[in-house]
Amino acid sequence: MQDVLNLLLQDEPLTPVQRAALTKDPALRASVQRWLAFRATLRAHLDEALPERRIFVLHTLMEAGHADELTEAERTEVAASQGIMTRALEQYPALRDAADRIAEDRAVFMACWEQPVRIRRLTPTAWRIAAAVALIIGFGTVFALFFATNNAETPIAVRDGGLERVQLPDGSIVHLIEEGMLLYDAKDFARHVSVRGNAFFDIVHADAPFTVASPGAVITVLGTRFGIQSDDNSTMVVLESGRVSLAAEHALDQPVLLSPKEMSRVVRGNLPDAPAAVDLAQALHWTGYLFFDATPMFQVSRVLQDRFEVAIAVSEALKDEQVSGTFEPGDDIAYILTTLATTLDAVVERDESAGFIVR
Amino acid sequence: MRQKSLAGMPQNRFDALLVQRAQQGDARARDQLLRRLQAVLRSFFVKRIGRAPVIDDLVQNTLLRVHNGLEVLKDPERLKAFAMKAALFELQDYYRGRYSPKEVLYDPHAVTTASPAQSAWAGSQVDLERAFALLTPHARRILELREYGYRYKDIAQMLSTTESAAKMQVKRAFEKMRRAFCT
Repeated sequence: MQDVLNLLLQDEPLTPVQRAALTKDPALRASVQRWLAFRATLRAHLDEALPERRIFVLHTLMEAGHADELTEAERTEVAASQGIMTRALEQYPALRDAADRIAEDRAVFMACWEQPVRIRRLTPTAWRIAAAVALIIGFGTVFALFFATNNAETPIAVRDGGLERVQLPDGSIVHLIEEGMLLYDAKDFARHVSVRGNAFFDIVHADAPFTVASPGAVITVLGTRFGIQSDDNSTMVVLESGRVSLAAEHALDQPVLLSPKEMSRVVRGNLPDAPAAVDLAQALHWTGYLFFDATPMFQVSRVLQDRFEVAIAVSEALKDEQVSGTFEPGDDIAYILTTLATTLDAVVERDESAGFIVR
Repeated sequence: MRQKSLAGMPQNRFDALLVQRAQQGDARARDQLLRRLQAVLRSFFVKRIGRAPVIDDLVQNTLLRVHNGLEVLKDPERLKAFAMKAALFELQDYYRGRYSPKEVLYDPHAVTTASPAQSAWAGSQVDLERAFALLTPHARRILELREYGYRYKDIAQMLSTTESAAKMQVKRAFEKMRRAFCT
């Protein structure tokens, strides 16, 4: 009986055991049928009372004092639906709870909007946590993925001096830089790519590992950002965040594990070098990304001045303040300065003659 | 001349110029805009429904709504409200459609073998008022929210109770209806 009661709470289809239990007890089966019919009827009536949930959302925003977030046309729609909304809310008391929830959804969205992305002060502890959560997956999987995706691949290439931003089907981003070539199966993407030349990867986290095959090497990651420079006989990997496993293609069971701000190199036929510490800004300069890791603001301003050829002044009080963050090649100077300044609770001013002032 | 106030947030993550460029067909600007928006949406949906596999679909569908509506967005400064509404609409569609693939719970084979008296309960023949009269107002709210599409976890938060207490209310409601309609 308890099992049957539990099935009232489940969303999945009946299991054979539950089905058999109902078959053996016609009275219980009839009760369950009535119950399911009751639920279906209630759902149908709710849908009838609220034919358009979009209008319910708009109505709720209006009622919550956010009419300014609606367009004129939307406000007109809401006004025209006032009668329907009033009746629905009177008829189904829980719709008041749903309206409260929608207002809460709005508040959560606004909080997410305000939240800066990809910019945070990464303390040593945070680096350790980031590294700890990254998972290295078995090499059998790597091997299978590597050889399973050599067909039906989509080639994307850039020539000397070029830059190509590629968004993979899983949302990961690859920047191909100067004579880079990327191969992947766009139709049946299994989080595996092959790369030649130079590329910077920003891999979204997922349960399945992401593997990169490059000359002489295989790199395995979950969610992370790293750069690869390769030629026909060697691959060098520099890790910005997360954790990666780098193995020679002939010795997948003998990888080295890279932590953030480390690099390693594989020469075809040899095992990877032991990880070595690097300065990200220098080691990944070729990617076009900007990396700041507890970098003083005066130093940041110099880098940005060189990159964007614009004057940037930093107030005395801020010049020794340290900031951390990573910016993509397409990010503009205003965005970068504003984002960095946010972490310092500072302001950016634009002066037509003097450029940017951060204070 | 002060242009950007940073107290609070990096406003220019979605500045009007970027939106305008995207509206005017600048593919790079549009790509950048959607990429930045994607992070906000992912964070929003994860906060509302957890790290479910459906998150990717919700994010993509919302981005599609924004993408399709971008050209008719008259004021680039209103992107935030525009994106917020798109995300809320998508979330509501998710709740509304949550049951659609699971209708097999309403076992068609079992229904066809029901007696005429039983089949009178099927579909729209159920007298909701009669059924509601048996329920406490609290149980009724839970059932309405459930059929609206919320999960028990959401309902528990909305009604300041626990998930197990909400489920218990549903079981009691079933028992009440069973006793009432079997006699």
